[in-house]
Amino acid sequence: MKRAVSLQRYLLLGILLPVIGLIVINTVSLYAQALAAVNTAYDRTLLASAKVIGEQLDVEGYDDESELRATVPYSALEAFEADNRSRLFYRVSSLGGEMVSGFAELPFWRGKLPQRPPYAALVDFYNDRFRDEEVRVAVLLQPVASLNGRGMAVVQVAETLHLRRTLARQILIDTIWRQALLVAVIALVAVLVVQRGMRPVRRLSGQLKARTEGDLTPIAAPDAPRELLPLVDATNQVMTRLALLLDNQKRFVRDTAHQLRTPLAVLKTQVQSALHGDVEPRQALLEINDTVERATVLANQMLSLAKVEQLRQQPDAPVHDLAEIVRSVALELSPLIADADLDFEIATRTAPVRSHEWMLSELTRNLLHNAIKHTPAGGALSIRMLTDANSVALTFADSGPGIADGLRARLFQPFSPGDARSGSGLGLAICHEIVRALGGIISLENRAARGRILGLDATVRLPLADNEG
Amino acid sequence: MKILLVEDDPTMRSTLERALSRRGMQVDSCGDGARAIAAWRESEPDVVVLDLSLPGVDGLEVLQQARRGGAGTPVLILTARGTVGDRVIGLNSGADDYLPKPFDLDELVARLQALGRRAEARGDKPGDPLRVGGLRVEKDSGAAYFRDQVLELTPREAALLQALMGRPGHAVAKEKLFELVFPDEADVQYEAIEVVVYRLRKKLAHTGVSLMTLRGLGYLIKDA
Repeated sequence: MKRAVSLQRYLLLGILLPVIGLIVINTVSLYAQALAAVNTAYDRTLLASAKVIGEQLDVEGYDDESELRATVPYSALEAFEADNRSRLFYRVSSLGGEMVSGFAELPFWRGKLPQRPPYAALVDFYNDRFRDEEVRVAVLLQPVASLNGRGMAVVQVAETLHLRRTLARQILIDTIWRQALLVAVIALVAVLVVQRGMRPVRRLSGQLKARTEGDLTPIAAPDAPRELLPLVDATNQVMTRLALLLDNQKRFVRDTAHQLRTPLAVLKTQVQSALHGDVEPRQALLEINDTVERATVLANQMLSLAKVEQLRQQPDAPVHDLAEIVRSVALELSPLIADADLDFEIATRTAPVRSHEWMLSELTRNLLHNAIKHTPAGGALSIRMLTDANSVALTFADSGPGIADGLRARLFQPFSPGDARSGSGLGLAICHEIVRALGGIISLENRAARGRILGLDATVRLPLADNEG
Repeated sequence: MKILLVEDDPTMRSTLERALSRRGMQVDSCGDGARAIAAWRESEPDVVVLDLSLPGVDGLEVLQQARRGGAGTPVLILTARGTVGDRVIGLNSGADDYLPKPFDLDELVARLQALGRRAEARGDKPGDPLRVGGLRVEKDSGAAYFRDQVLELTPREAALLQALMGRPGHAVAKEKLFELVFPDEADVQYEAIEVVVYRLRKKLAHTGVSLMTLRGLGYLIKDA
């Protein structure tokens, strides 16, 4: 099963991950910038010290034959040493690499001068190794001139990287601390805001959980945010529908119990009366049999109502020809027609209807049963079917007394008093439920001529199944 | 006729036992599945009446075990009505008939007799004649009598009468009658059946048995 998505987690991750990502990028670039600034500043000092050395050079001879001389007091460099852990070393050489003065271990510079717009002089900076330590070296090509000579000197000044490293690390640590604090503050704010934002949801579910079993009153959520209102509304609608359904079921159960008690009460009276010898035993038993028959019909009809509901929830009903079902139900009920000597007529036409077979035959059986019951002996009873492009109309026309106008709407309700004449009062309710489940309509119309009621037309109109079905 | 009655409700069981015995049947009964299987094997009944909801081994399983064991005894299933597919399950599982509770005692007896007859017929015994009122039709010859007087009928009229007397009071669809009365004739008009009905009705006029028309549906015969 798929795990439910946590909105809270989603919001927190959605906010914090990008923020942390941005901060990491920011930290890296800040550090790089700081490092570059530190290097530039220290390089400038190195260059300055190289220039100081360069100015103290002397030369004899010209160009290729020139001979350089340097007298560099160490004190000249001391001024440039930043602290006592960072040391400066120098080397003065001729262009050819011939050592003139300084530390011979410092490797001669063999690079090329880059184009360096910030510096006017012929300068380069690079990293090298000196006495197993990494050093930063500034190299200066210094033209030297004197009264009796002119030449070019290569002045290298090296500085251990210790100080730069320490400073860079300090900057890095400071930066990281500051950014971490920023992340912490943002995370805290995000958590608080999300928690606060979720509070109405939690409160709502708490309210719903705390409800008693049968409580279907609408949810009151006056402080719910606008985003939650559709959910609250939808839930309330479901609640209302459930409440209505539950009410109907309660009423049905109450009515059913009442209806079942009636034949039991009758039965009891009949049995006691028979025991007293009020009637002949055979007569009493016949009466009791009728009462039991009534209760049986009622119980069966209640099961039918339940079955309609059960079938309604089953998808993919097959297609049946309503005509075939109507004819087979008529054959099934033919003994009743024969008993009453009815003037019977049926005219059917093919009508494919998508439905469980039981629904169609139960519908037909109930309506035909009613029609037979209400037709006087020897009277006319006809079943007609008419179809158009989309629907079929099935009519049971009896020649009974018809129905009073005021009752018509209530006849489809379970146990409606008006239907008492037809027995238990569930037959038409079953028909109504079936027709509703099939998306059709059912109507009862008196057939009258010259103010006289000739009979009742019970008509069911059902949608035809699609042709491809 | 020997009946094995398997029914768990004691009141229902004793009432049925008494009622069936009174109608000349010899009844063995039991109230649970395990004993039913044993009793079925030992007593070799002609018809078994089986309730589906039994304690322990349920009715359908009893039936399946018996059928696997080769028992061909006709079985009538009794069960509470209302569960979808009960009927289908009952008949697919090797039952021969099905009666939802609550049922009419007369209906039960009639069905049991029919099942018993069917079992006999398999033993090549001639069937009982069909009777309605004073009318009697021999199944094998199709000969029709009214109070022991032969009724002069054409073969088509006899076929029609026999078809209708199979279920007196019950309509038979005219399509089915047409097939029975005009078995091999392709170019007969559908309305021809009405002529046969008309003639047969006239010949039955003095018998008190009437031939009723349900227009558009079919015909039935009943003792007026």
